[in-house]
Amino acid sequence: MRAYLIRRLWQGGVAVLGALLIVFVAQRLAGDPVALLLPMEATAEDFAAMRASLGLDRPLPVQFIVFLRDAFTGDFGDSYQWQAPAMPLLLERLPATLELACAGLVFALLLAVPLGVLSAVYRGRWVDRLAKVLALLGQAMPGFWVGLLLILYLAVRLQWLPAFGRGGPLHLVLPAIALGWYPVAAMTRTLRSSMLDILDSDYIRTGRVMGLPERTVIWRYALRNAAVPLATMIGVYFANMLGGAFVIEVVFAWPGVGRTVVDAVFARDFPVVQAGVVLSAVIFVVVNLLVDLSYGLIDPRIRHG
Amino acid sequence: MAERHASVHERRMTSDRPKTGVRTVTLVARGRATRVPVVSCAVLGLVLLCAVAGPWLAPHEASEIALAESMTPPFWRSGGSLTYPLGTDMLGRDILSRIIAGARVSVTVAAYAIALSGGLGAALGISAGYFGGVADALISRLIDIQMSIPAIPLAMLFAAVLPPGEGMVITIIVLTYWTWYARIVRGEVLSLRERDFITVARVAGVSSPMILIRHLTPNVLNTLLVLATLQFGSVIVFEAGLSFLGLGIQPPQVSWGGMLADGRNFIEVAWWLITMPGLAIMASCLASNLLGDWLRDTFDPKRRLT
Repeated sequence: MRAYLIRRLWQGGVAVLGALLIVFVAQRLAGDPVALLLPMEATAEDFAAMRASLGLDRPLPVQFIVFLRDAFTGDFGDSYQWQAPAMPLLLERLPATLELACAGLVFALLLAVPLGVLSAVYRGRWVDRLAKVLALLGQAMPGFWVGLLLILYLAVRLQWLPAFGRGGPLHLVLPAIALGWYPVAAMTRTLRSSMLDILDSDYIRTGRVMGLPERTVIWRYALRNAAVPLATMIGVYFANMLGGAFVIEVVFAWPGVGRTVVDAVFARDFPVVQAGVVLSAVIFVVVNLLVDLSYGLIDPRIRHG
Repeated sequence: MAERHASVHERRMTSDRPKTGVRTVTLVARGRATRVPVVSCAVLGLVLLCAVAGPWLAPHEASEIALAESMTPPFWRSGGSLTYPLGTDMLGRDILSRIIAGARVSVTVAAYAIALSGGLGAALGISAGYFGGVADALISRLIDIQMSIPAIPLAMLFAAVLPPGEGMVITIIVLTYWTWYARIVRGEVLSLRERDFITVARVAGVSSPMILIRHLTPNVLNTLLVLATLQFGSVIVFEAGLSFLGLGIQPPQVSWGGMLADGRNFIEVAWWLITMPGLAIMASCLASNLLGDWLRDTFDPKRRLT
């Protein structure tokens, strides 16, 4: 377990370092930031002075080391639009994004767990077919389009729920459905197939033979074991939802990290975009690490592996 | 080629054949299931046809403005007419013609993106799987790194750096999707490498490049075809997302995602503006996913039974 932990930490570190390298290279490809920072009438001396003050006259490897040093303290420079440090700007908006992603995950689980279990228990019956259709639609309908349709029908036509912005729990409903739409498909299918395997196993048969009520067998004994592969997916999907939130936040005018980064792309506000990419990568790596570590908690067999 | 047939045959032999009763059921199910690939191919064929022959099929010019006709609803609603079967947008442009024009952009982007990411991913995956050692370690780490950066934020980064347009969208998709191919192909090659026909070829003195091209590549072609089919739908959604945000295909070029973004501002008055392009995205993606799944099951007899 300890060796595994160290290896995973090392891999996570390499991944974050790789993300930083990509960001650094992209920044250099973006061209001369000095031209963006200086007024039109700046002279060649102004340019040289600015470049020296930003450290752009030093060799690239040195620049990368400096970039890394700053990155580890969370310093990605100041936002051009807001004249404030980029990373704190995003961290301020992170709770909104996390709130949305959690709500999306809850929605996905609320739909996927009953659907996955029932479609395995009633294999080939209408629940199974419904789950199959939902899974197909989940993959084929982009979340942002689902979001638009939800706004059209539930917010504009029926006026049941608010369509834009962040407020009470009601504001969360539509964006959460749009964001959770996609993972439902994969989660349902994973749970269905692991349930099918487990319902066929000896200990479930034993439980039935011993006269346990079917409900207990399915929901307490089978689901607990069938949920292991699902649990491993939750982390991946949660992390993906943080990325997917970029588009959904724009659709619902949700004041989160994603919308801020998209706005920053339009404004060519590079520090904010960089900070956003690094922040997403760090969260992604950390979430996946936590999921890997939690395997042992969910499934005791792995603890000794 | 001979090895390839042999390998398929071998797999058939080793997979447990079902008892007769089960087999009849599977055959019935398969008879019903042949409708799926036929319908999927028809939908994808239509999309391809629109992409190739769009200008001749479309009733109007995609960018033809007719302000007097603006916001015409689809033909089955009152106020609609068959001149504009799916209605018009705020500038009176024909939605059907714009969807047909959008197909061209989607298919072009998808074709380049699939060819490039498939080629790159397969080449790296085969090399990693066959050579192992340092090459494998390097390529695998690269895959890990790539996969630890969520796709959409990475797309934002490139969108901020590269000039917008088709080239940028293709670049972003290739950089995101090559890992799909590389990971799966690497896994396949790792197991193929240990198979007798490769060992025999190696013992017989066949050179490495020859083994890669003649013996390994044909064996992963099925996988590549399945991945490419599945990727088509995924790429269409990805491109639509970028264009919806305004970071992908730029006007005056027509794209389905861009149409959705335009229609969003008129969501209260014209439902068809956000519905029709979305249906086009959904149909293409659905068809590609169904066809991809069907191909995978067909190529792998073992999966057919589940």
